[in-house]
Amino acid sequence: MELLEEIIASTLRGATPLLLAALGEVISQRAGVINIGIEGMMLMGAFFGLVTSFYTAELMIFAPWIGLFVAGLSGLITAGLFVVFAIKLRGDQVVIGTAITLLALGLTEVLYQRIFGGTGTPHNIPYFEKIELPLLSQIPFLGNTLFSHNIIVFLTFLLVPCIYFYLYHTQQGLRVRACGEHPKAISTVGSNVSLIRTMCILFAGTMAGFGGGYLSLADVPIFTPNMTAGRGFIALAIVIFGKWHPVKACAAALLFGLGFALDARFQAFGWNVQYQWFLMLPFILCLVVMSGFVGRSEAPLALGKPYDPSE
Amino acid sequence: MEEKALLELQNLTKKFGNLIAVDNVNFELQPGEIHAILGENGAGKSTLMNLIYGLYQPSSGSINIYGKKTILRSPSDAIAHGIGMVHQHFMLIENLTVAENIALSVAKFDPSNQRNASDADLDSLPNSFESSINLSKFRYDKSEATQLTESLSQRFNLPVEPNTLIRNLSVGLKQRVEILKALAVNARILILDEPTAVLSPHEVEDFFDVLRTLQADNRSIIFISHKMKEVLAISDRITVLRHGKNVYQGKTGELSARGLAKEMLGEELSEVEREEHKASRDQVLNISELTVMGSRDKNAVKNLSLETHRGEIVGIAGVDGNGQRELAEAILGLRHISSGTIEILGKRPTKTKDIRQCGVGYIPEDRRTKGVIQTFSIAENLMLNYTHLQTLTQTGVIKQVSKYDFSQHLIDSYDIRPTIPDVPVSTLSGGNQQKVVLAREISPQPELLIAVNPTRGLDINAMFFVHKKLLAQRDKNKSVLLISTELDEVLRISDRIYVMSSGKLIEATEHRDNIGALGLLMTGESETDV
Repeated sequence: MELLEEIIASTLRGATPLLLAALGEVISQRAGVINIGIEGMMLMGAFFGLVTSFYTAELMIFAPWIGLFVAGLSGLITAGLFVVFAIKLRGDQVVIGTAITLLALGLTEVLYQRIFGGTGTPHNIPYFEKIELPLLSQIPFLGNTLFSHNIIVFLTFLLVPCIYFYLYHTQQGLRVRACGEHPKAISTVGSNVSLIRTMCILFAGTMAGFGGGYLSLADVPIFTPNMTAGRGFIALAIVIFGKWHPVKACAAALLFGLGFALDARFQAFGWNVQYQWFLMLPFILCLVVMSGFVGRSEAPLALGKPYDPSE
Repeated sequence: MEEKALLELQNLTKKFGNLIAVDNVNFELQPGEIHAILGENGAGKSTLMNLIYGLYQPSSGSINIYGKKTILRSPSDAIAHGIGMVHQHFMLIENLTVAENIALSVAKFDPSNQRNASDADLDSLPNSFESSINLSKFRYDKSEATQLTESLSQRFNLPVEPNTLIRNLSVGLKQRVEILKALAVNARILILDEPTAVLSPHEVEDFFDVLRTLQADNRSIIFISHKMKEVLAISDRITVLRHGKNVYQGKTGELSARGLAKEMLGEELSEVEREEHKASRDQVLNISELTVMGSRDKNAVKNLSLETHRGEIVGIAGVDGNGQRELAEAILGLRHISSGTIEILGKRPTKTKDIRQCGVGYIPEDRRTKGVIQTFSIAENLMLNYTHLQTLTQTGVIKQVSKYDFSQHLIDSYDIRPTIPDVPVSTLSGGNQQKVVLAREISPQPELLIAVNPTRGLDINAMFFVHKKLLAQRDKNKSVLLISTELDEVLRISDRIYVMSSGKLIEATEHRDNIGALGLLMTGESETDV
């Protein structure tokens, strides 16, 4: 029982950064932009979030919040770079996204070496600690699994219905969806396609930044080079597996969260299997899911196509 | 006395680099008028409309609306001035419902804005449709949008089901939604770009009724077309554009169809005439009881039998999407056959390569995506044919000298312009691209030539060129299967005529002179009703 509680709890924790990035990406792809750069944006968020919390450590409990803010901001700025190339210059979104990820990988590693040197990140950086929700956390089983987490876990799952409402029950959401299906059509009714797409990319970048900030600031404050380890790409898989729908993406994120949770559990069992096999688990899950379970693709029609108003 | 014009263009000019697309055009539109704009492809019709709709800015000249000089910076400006446009390629989002599409159109629209734009003159204009343009600003409420759609379609008598996905609608209904979209933002000037290109003869009649209703409502319509007959049937006045200039403007009926064509082309037409011709009994293509699956797991071709002989053109008319494409692709071996047989010159090849080697030429429906490779040069496109590649290569290496001789020869005999083999095909006009396809497919002298919509989007001269080439094939005792949505074309050059409807063929040669009956067959009426 205790094992099950632990697995469920760590599934939620593992799913949170994936879900943050995936929710942003749902919006971005719904508007017709494949942002492969979210891996890089997460990494930027993770690094700058932690560094900020490190330098503002004397502010105590405020430090991780400032860190998280800066994490989102660095995701946003990185996304701004993406906007310049993908929207302004109408470049190929996949190439730009890849370039941004590589850039983030290099940049964070260099800065990491400069700031923390060979010693690694110190342990006394303020971070988001586990909180136990009053009353709710007293419920047997559910209390430990669902209601004792750091604050970001709760906030992230609350975001799911918000994004759903935005996409399906607001004028703007309707326009975002239209933008990914037939951008020319909505430009002829007077909407600004480039503006909508820009906002969506910036939102996706910010969310990816938060996701990265979660990785470095929640539960354990730590940064290591390439610490996202492909989570941005898994978020992309989640978007596809979740059929570009926030609620389904949430379910998909939980599935991959489970993958990470099992990975950690199995390693702890000390079975006589090389631990790399367990590390592979979420990624193998990713491959299996992408190859077998996604039926006919329901991608937005104009996904990945730069919009050129003069065509 | 001349009424005050609703829309007036004065000396409007639009240049793209050195190209003058619209040259010093003057034009005016009266309230409640249907004004047709005729012109060949590339005459500047679309550019002119894009100027009026705010998609382009004029290089010089002015646009006056209600007598006031107006600068239209974007489509939203145009919408605010009561201008609506129905594009040739619909601007509808296929995966959204009718109501959602209309809500998108209304969402960016502010009725008070429109009022300011045209102040006092509004009083003399049709009542704006205000009662229901009050969608919430932020929320998208499905029932609100449904209600709006319903009241719009009632008000203008254009019935449509609000909560159907656009992709499940027929072409005629999609067009109706486009018109509703424009009416939802109270457009008083409607620009219709080639609206009948996609409609069956029957649907065209309905569509004209809609236009007359709108006209009765004192709305003005700019009707762009290159179909003379329709322009003469519906318009009040006609403006003809040629090479960006307006060469003629006058009341409908002043000039005959022939006279208008002369204005459009600037020269006399050389009509293509089909001479009666005795086909031989030699069978070329023999299809029996063919069934082919279309997309969405439905049978697109149902139990169809057809024969073609040497020395005849068999024409299949029909509205798009009745299985024509699947039929052509099945004959070419590009699509899996569920049941039935296809025999070509007594053989039953199944692979496309073998079918091609039997002597089958293919002019696909969409030259831009299937007929040519846009980024390849003319020479490279001309070579992309099994027969040609064999004669032009030696152990797999292309012989450069023969490649140029060969393509130069075809460029000359098919009058492809520009005449330079190395020019990428993407820079050619539609007519010249089609000539490249014709040259490649006809030059190996195919026993059977399958032509699907071979003149779609071509101007009159290019169209005649294609017809001449098809007739020449027939006169060389070859067999031609013409599949086309243009009834006129099928009638003009075919020896035997079929109508294809819902995957079935109906022999209709006897109805050759009865367009009404053919139209009914095309919309799915059975032969006994005709």
